[in-house]
Amino acid sequence: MTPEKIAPELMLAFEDYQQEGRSGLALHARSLGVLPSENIVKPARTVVFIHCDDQARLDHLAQRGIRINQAIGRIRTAILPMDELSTLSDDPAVQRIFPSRYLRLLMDVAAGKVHVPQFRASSGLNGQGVIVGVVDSGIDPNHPAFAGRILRIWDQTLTGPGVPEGGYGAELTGNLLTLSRDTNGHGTHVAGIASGSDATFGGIAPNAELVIVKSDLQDTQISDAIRYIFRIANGLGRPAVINLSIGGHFDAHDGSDSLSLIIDSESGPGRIICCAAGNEGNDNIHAQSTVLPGTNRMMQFRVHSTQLRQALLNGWYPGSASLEVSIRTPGGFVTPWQAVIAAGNPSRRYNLPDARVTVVTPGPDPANGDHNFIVAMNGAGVGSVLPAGIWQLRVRHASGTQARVDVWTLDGQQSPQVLFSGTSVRDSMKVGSPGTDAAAITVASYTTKDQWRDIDGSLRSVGLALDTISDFSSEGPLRNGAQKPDVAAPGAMIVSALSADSPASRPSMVNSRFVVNAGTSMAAPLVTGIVALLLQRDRNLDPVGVKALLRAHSSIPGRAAGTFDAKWGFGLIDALGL
Amino acid sequence: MDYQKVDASLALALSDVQDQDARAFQVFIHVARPPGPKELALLEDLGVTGITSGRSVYTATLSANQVTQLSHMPWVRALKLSQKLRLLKPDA
Repeated sequence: MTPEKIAPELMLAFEDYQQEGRSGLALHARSLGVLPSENIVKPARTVVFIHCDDQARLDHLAQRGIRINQAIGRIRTAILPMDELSTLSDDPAVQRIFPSRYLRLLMDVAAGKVHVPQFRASSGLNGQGVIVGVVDSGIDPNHPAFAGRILRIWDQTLTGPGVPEGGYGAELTGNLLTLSRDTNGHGTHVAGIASGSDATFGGIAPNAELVIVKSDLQDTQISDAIRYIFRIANGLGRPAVINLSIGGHFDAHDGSDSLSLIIDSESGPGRIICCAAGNEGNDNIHAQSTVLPGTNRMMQFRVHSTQLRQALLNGWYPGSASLEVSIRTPGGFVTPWQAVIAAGNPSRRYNLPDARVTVVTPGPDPANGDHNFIVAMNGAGVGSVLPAGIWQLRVRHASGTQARVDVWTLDGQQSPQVLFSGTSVRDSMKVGSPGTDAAAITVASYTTKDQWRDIDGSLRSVGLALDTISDFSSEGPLRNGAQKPDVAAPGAMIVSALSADSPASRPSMVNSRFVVNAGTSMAAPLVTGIVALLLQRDRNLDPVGVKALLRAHSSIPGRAAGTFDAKWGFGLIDALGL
Repeated sequence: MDYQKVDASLALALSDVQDQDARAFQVFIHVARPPGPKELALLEDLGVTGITSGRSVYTATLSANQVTQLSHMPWVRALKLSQKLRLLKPDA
């Protein structure tokens, strides 16, 4: 054995094992990656980090039962029988051996799965000197994970004079930070993943400083928030990365919407934006139909809820075609065919016995040259609910070339209640703005853990398939074929900071300060944190450069390098070689 | 109103407006070319903040009458209604 290569805490565990056998490892098993094993046939094992040269050959160690997970790299992980720790330490190619730390819950699994600890250990990066911006539901300014690192909060929901980018809300600094509260909890959780500082549940870039915008999520205000954060970063001479774990489906799904255009114009060297892909992977919110000249097509959808007052359809098709639109209600009543109304008010209202339907069919959108139509459905009387049941969107093509129509449902609910059914359903194009923006890094969710112990010690689980893309993660590509999402990162189940002002349930709490959550909302800030580390190393990195780096270090299991998939993007990121 | 410059969502919202002077519409203002001084002054009068020359998109909260006024300006390319996004976590 070469003891000087072995980290002290691992050496201590080994000595206890030598003296007391398996029982000597019991205490260490609570904190280190030591697996005592009650099976007398199966030896006690330990999980370690091995420091070595990047090209060091260690495969010969397999014959001693030492399983090393990487063939190259300066920091590798391995699992080995405790008895073989001596063999490992004596190998001339091995420089140092550190124990894996059992961090008890999920952020370690997430970050470890994508080798962030190794990247940080080998690079020394921690986000120092970088601004992480979070536009979300706010932040808990008292949470110890962010102590001393929140530079400003622009709380757009407070009454106040606002900031140059928007004359509303209040900008808070110093002692006044505590006037802003995250009563939802989402923003605090997101900020913690990107940049929380904690010995057990720390974020990716724990030394970055934070500029927070608490928004009511109107996309004009989000645009103002982006400009605000980058102005602050400019004034401080710092690179910045902004996280947007928000989205919707009112847009054209091709990156031509206003928010996407603003992100395009504001992004650049040292100015990066990361977005969540969306969580509609299991929801039939998108339908598509190809309409030939002289034909009709019907796209069926169901209103599931009996409590909805309004639902909308957002439809898009090429400007070279001209379609007529009609709606059929559950009661069998139909609106007249409505063609494009290129001049004058393009909105027509129809009062049917069981619903009020407004159909809007303007001329081509100047941003992309395509036609957008909107159908708004309301209950028959003012204040009445929308009839539940099967509805139909009917489109008719009088003449010209065939037209592909894409339609999205919108009902304002966190869990969609208006869903397409039948043959027009498409599991595609469910990434909405701002995730559609070309310059943004759009992140899908990967599941690294499906169980956790809650604050009361109960084992909790969710029905997600492990170690694969999360089924709720929205699929791309964009309506114009552009490749989105960009990459995937762990988004379920993720432990991060709990806002003291938010109503967390005990089953989701792991302790009084940290809570578990899931979504592409959680995946995006993991990449935001990685980008913060990259900006610390190269403050002039631009969106093209970031994407190229991430793409080169992402992969889809079982697929060739560089393969794009509508669910995975270019695959799960791997920070090891960054 | 020049409806060719108004997106479908804004047209829908305008069809329901009761008070033409109430500042009820949060919009994106897309300009066809960088606004000149008179045009920037108009935007300021309308309450547009964050006015920086060189931008092609501004944000503002306008009344229906103000939307109509802007729609007739040749340097305004499009007026689009702000949409409310939502936080992206699966559970309500």
